[in-house]
Amino acid sequence: MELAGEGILILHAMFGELAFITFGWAFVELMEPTKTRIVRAKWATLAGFLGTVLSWIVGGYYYVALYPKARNLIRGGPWPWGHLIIMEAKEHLFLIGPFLAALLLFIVWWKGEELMVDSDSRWASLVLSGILTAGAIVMLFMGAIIGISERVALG
Amino acid sequence: MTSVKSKKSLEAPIGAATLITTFAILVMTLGSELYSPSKAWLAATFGHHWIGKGILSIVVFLVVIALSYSRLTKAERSMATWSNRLFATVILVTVIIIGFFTYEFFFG
Repeated sequence: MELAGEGILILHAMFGELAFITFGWAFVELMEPTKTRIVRAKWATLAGFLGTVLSWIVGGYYYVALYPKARNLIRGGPWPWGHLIIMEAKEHLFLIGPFLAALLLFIVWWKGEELMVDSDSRWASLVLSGILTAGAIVMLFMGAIIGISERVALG
Repeated sequence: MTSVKSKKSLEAPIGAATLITTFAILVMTLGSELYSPSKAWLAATFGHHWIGKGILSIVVFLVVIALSYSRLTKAERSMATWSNRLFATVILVTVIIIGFFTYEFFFG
């Protein structure tokens, strides 16, 4: 892989890690929200949303423009399932993330301090930040498996 | 669960749009694998089938928000119920997509 390709892949992973950390952070802040915690949760959800969208754009560029070479390598290597199961599932499951992140962002910014008394919306924001945190870590694991599949194919 | 609602349920159309978009992603994913002309159409129209799925997902999301806005913001909506449905949907879609590609790998 060329250096530019590696840089793009690192950026994709970094934005994904940003999303993982900030959605997890928002989850903790929203467990027992106060005015201060809600302010932090708002910025955490914004950072998570941006991380998700940027990871989508950067990862999408990598997937469309640079990944085909790695795909052929993986498919011909000892771990073809690294592409045929893991990458195929990852590229499609990823598409759900930005919409979940947009919904969480909207609820937290729209409800704001109401989240202290509106347990209905607070539950929704906890469920969404929980799904997004778990989803982000699953994406990171899948990305690692794909990377190792390429490495084992190189011998 | 107590609920204090002082504003219109503007989040309800976005919740509905997220739910339907998640199903749309599942349909596009399985549809493009099981019916190859649809994958070829996505690739020919958008340059790559995955870009096509992404753009169509955004379109579905925005269209559902626009179509459901007036109806879903009239009355109070429980976002806890929406989020629980969404949680179940995301789990189901995840299991189906991983299961599908696993099946295709071993038996396809």
